[in-house]
Amino acid sequence: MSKRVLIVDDAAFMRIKLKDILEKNGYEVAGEAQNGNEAVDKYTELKPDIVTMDITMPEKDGVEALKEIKAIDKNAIVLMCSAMGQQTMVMDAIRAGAMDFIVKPFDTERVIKALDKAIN
Amino acid sequence: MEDNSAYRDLFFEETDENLAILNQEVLQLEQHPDDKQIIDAIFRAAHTLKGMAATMGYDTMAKLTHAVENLFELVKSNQLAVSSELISLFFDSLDTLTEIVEKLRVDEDDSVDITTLVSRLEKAAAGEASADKPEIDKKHEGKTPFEFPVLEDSDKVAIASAVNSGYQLFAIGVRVEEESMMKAARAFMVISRLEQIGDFVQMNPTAETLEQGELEESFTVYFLSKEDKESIEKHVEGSSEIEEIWVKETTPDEDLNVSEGDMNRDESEDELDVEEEKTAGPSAEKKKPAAKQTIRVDLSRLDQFMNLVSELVIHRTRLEDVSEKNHLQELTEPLTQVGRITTELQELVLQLRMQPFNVVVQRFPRMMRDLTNELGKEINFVTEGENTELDRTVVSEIGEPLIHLLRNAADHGVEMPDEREKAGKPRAGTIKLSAYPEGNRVIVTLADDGKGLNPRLIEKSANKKGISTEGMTDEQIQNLIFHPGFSTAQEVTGISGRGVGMDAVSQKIASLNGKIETFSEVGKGTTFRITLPLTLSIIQSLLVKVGQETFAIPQAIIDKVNRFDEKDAISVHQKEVYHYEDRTIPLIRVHDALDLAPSTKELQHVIVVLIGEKHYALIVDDLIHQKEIVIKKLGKEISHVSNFLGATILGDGSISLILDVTSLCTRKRAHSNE
Repeated sequence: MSKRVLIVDDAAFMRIKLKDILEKNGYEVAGEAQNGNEAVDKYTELKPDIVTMDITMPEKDGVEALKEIKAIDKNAIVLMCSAMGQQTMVMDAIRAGAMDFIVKPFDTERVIKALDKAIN
Repeated sequence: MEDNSAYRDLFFEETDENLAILNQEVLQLEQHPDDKQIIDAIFRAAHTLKGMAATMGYDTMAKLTHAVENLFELVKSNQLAVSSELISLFFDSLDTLTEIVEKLRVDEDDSVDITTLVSRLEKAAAGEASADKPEIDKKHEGKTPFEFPVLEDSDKVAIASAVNSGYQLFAIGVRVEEESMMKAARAFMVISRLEQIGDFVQMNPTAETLEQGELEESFTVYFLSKEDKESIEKHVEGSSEIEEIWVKETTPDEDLNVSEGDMNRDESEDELDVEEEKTAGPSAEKKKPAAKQTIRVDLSRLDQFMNLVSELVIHRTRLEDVSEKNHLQELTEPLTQVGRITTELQELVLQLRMQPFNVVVQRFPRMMRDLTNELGKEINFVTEGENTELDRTVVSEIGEPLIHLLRNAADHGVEMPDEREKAGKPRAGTIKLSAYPEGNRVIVTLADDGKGLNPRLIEKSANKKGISTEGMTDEQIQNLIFHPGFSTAQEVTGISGRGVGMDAVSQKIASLNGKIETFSEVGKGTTFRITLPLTLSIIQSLLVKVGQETFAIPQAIIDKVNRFDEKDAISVHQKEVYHYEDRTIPLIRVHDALDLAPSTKELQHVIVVLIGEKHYALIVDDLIHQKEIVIKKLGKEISHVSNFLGATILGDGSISLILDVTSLCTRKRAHSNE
């Protein structure tokens, strides 16, 4: 059965791009969220296998959302999506329990590798 | 590069949005240089732009946005103060970004020279912040062997005692993929996993270096653990972009570095403690105006939806016909239901096409700021009713004429500060742009408190240009500004005054089925009042008969309808004019213009239409009735056919063409001018 992914990103463009990458590679996109608050809600609602979490987002950023998701489900698999120059935040996220991270711009191969690895 | 063409539209839409945010927020920042929330918003927008540009493979744009973001990161972390130079630097960057985006929109090329700009941005960043070098892009050829840290004597003692209590010393080397970005964070990921199953003795580079985000491509640790080699290897797996993890059981005395060749020891460790300051954490509060839940839909799909709904309406009407003719009582009730639902659907799809006026307005404050500076005037620009909604098409078309009017108001309307003071007015002029709904129309007004339109000056200028003003009221003279080729400016400035604008403005508004009126008082100011239809998809029209054909004429442009008497048509230089309210206006016989068979009807009608500021008389045969119609675009096979705005399907299922009166009248004019 294909793994279900929750995509969190405030830019629709990024969500669509990522969704496309995932769906073409055998993942199922269970849902999308545009900010941290939505991400936490959707996580509880959808119980996805993996979350891809953008770091810079309005309302609640990805690291905060990650922490909350981890508090709800300590086994949650969360992959951070970061842009260049956010290393400090990525490290914060790893400290907070992020499984891995992908750097934008998204490269299909890398994204899929990271997800495959995270699942195993 | 992957094929991104599918995302192009979305890319531009979001890019425009983010550029608008940037313009707006930087403008705000100028007023409130310390506002954290503004800085955050700017940072976020720049960041989003960068990400999107890089994903699309638009390198120039990505590079520029990256430089902007870098600089803003410094502002965000209080390492750089907001100065007016910084603001203009940002504005310059935004202008260049806009230029790049416009170029991209036309073709896939974004080759704009940004070297000076980027170096200015970098200089600004370097000027204040001592060490802000990009943490990536250090090209490496060949792979350096793992270089293990030196164990100190105290380490060796600690290791010995740990070994006694069942620990094993491991030497672990981790190599991050060369292409990988944020290598330090990758390494950090492995480290945080190792931490769960053991302790670190020494690390190269040091933990602090890693924390600061510096890593070439490999790192090494001496690691104490009770786990065996396999389980360690297993435990650190699962991180992507790690090229190699090398684990070896070792003893403190084994010199691992020798076998790899004597490496030059990196001195950088010593310099590392200097810079401890790091950017503010991500947990900084973020605000955002309460986000509505929205999705983006391709406009053509909405049009399609609209078309389908209107087709549904037509077939409903036919069903009603059938039901009535055959006295099918059973059908009446469900048909009423269908009727109500289709009406609701129609309203809904119209609403879907609505966009707030703000979409147009939001770029104006920036423009007005630049204008004010350029002209050396003081102008308060006020907007009102930004939330008034208009059809998307109107919203996208109205921007250009408004810009023209705004420029005119700033350039010709508002006086220089000294001049204003002399006239007993406040030094700063006010230009106010407001929008409000009125029935099924939207009224946009643009008012300035400048010097107003002086009829005498206009008269003089008109006479010089050979435009007769005889017998005209002051109001009519003021309206001459819409006359083609008219300009009152003493000298043509770069901003306005070429005299082609106002004519174009009124034509554009007419093409949107709107109209523009002028109210001006000398010394007090000028107000333009633009009336626009809420939507362009459904219009009130007059159905007329020309020969055998039925045509629809948009109601909005019709000034008067009358019976036509051949006596009122006067032949002048091979063309005809019509006598209307003591004036003569061009006369167009629709059947001639459309090459239809000449009318045999005794009784014809004249429809006087107003396009811009000019009247035309259209001669048709019969008037059928007034009707609300849904405009359907002509298919692309016949889209080159001028004279028609589109077609509509009438209740009985027949099709009627909608006359493009503007094209009909102006083409005729061009023709007869020859």
